[in-house]
Amino acid sequence: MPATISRTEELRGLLTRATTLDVRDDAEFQNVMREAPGVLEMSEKQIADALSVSRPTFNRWINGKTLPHVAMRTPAVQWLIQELNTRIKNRTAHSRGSGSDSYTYAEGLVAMGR
Amino acid sequence: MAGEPGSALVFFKFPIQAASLAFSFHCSIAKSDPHLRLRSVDEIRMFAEEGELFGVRSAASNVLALCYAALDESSNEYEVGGLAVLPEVQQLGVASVLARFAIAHIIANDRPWHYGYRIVAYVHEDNQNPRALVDRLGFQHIGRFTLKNAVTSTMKQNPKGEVMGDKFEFPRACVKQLLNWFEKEFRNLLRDGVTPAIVELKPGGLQSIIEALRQEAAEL
Repeated sequence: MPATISRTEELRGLLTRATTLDVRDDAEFQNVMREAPGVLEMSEKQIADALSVSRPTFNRWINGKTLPHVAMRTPAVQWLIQELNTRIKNRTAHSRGSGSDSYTYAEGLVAMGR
Repeated sequence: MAGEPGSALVFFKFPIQAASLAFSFHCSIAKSDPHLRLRSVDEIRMFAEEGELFGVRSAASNVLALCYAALDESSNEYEVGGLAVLPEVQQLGVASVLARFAIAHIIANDRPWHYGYRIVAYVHEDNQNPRALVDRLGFQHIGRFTLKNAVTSTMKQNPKGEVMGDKFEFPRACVKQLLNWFEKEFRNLLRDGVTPAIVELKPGGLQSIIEALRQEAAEL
């Protein structure tokens, strides 16, 4: 039987990591950004557009090939935090009505393209 | 098309959703410019779809200028090229701002020298127009190039059927010069001193780019 995790918990998990992130830490920044497409359910292109970078640039960030200057990381992480908060807020409001805040971990992995 | 005299021009990174618009603009300019290469139609389309284009638009959202900035991983080079500006705004110094914006964007988001890459530009041998700009930006001549199999029939070729030109590199040492331009010379106005130049860049704005240039300059 697959483990069940709350979708909101997944969003909150990344939110916690993003809000406590030290943007000077290359590996931390890379890891948080790497999780963003799956957790936000957005494509690399969509996130790249939101951050005003090209898709190849964002792809290099999440694969650790290149990383931006620290000055560019702070607004990127702030954008991520805002997106996560918006989704958590929407899901919280929605789940109050439907009670459907959980999904299987296996479904989550598929949604993240793993 | 540029709008009312003095109305703002917006410098922006072309969103991927607007790829077809950017591609159409490039094609409309490239058709009549025998020097504007140096990329095939398919490559320009790919730049647009990957979000590697920078543009200028009027208040009425008409595209006025375009350039690309893309990494060629096979040569470890970021190329800034395809600079095309509509004639009606060429006297405003649009190309100068757009090229600096594209270069600064690469430095801020990709830190090319940190990862062993460099920033280059190519100019057709008969194309005199961009040479003063390339020089002003700080690019240095590093050699010649030859395209033996010219990628489009609209490109000017020599009698041997080759397209030839010069290759330039933007040296890391010029980051300070670029930073100085953004901090002291660029006052959000174009060359006429009247037309506002707005750099539209989510989420951190131009200030984050300038701060990144400071960080890069501090590492020199």
